[in-house]
Order: sequence, then C-alpha cells, then structure tokens
Amino acid sequence: MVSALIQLFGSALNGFFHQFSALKMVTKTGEIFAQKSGDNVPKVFTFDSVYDWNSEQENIFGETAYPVCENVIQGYNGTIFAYGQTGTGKTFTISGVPKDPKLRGIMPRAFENIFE
Amino acid sequence: MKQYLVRASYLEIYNEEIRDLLSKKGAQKLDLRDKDTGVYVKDLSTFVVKTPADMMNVFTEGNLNRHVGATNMNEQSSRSHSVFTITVESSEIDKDGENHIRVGKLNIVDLAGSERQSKTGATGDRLKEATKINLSLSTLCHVISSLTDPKCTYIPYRDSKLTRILQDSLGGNTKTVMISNVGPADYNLDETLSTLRYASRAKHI
Repeated sequence: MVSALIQLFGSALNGFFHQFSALKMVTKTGEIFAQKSGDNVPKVFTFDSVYDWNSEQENIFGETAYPVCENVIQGYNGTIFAYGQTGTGKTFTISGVPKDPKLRGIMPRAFENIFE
Repeated sequence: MKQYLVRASYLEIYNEEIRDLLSKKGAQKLDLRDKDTGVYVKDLSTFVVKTPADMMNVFTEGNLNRHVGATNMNEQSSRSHSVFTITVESSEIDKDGENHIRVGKLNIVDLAGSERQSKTGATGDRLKEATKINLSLSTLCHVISSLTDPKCTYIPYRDSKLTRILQDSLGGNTKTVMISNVGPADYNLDETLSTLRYASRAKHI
C-alpha cells in the first residue's frame, strides 16, 4: 500500500512565499497531477490514498498504519516507510506533536494501539 | 489467557554504519549478522516496555542521539535512516495445555531526505552524508524494482545496510506501507516528481 501526502508545515511555509499551482491532488480518487511549465499535459500518479493539507493525523493513521499494527499484534510482520524530500514534513507525519491529541503522528498512535 | 511481551529497539544508519540509538555507551557502531532466521544486528539494545508512555520515552531518548544537521532546505534535516522496531510476543495456553508463542515485528522506518546537493548547499561532511544517503535510497529503489519484476531473479539486498536489515520486511511475508511526503511548492517540483515516481515503483511490491 502506498500513500502520498502533502503537508504544509515547516519550511514549506517559512521564509519564502512559494507558488503552488503545479501540483493538484484529488483525494477521492487517489490521483496526483503534476504539471511542469512547458508541458502540455500533467503527469498523473495514482496511489492507494492521497492526503492534502486538510487531512487529519487521525485519518492518516487509521487508513495507513492501523491495519499494519493490527497485523503485528496477530503475530505477523509489518513495515512502515516514510519517504520524501527533506523539509516536506516527514517528521510531522511520523511523530507529530505527541502531546496534542489532534496533532499526534503515527508513532504515538501506534504505541497506544499496540497496548490496547 | 493471553500474555503479551512488547520490546522496542531503535537504530540509525548513518554513513552506512549501524548505530544503536539506545545504548548507554553512546551511539556505538554495530555489525550485521546472518542467522537462519534472518539478518540481525548483533548486540542491539532492546527494552521491554509496558505502557505507551514507556515506548514514547524510548523513542524520545533515541531521537536525542540521532544525527541531525542543518542544510539550506531544512534547519533540522535528518541525516540518517532510522529504524524503530517493536516486537510483540504473545503466548497463549490452549485447552490441551500447550503453549503457543507468536511473534510479530513492526518496523517504522524514517528514511533520510533525498535531496539535490545544489539546493541544499551541502559541502564537506554534509556532502559526504548526502552521497551515502542517496546511495542507499537508490539501492532501496533498485531492490523494490527488482522485486516488482517477475523476470528478475537476483535482488541486490546486500548493496546497502538499509536493504539488508529490511530484507525480510521487503520481500518476505510482511505487510508494507510506504508514505511519501511531497511539498506543494512549484520551486520543488523536480523533487516532488522524483518522490512520486519512486513511490509509484514501490506500489507494485
């Protein structure tokens, strides 16, 4: 299962004022359209799920990591990879703000899930 | 009655060297060994944890030992891959009085950021790190694409420490999720495209 996500935290918001027009996400269909200037048609990527900046940590965990955690408790192995360009919010996805129930990332949620 | 035992370990791969993030003696270099049950890291510390708060402490403690360095793109850029492993062992005595033990392992892998050297302004140590990071990421990509090609019989797990450690988590009987983060800025479109391509390739495992 592969998910892609866009988050607007950290360096994406600090410092520069960026233009955001080359990338479009359709969360319903899991599609991402990326169009380079000069290209007539955008490149299309499809993933199992796509999350934009309106997504909640809770849903990201529930739809991606939760099934893996459940499997592990049943005695199977599971691996969760986080990948991406530096500065795009990977650490936010993984750890988030551990003490904030809304902004907690995958790790603190997985820890809780395992002991339930 | 079912009983559970939960253990945690935390390591990083920095410049192709494995370091124990939970060792009391500081981040020590460790070796990889082969056993018939799979690849394992010799002398890696593991802690028995009893509550989510315990686990969080282990994670936070380990993070303090991680290699982080500032680049032009991110002031707290992770300079290593980290693997946090949770082992859940359950034992259950069935009605015939026999003890059944099941072990499940969860790896949470935070891959170091892929980057363009020209944009991050990396030189010296930072540049050396970046070269190793990019090398192991490309090996991971290579392994993934070999796994997705039915004609391919050789999988280059041994080309990097990361793929060796994760060998049974990539090809074996594991449930794998890959989460790719991308930035929305037009300025980063090239990197975004390469992340999306990378993730697309992984989709077929």
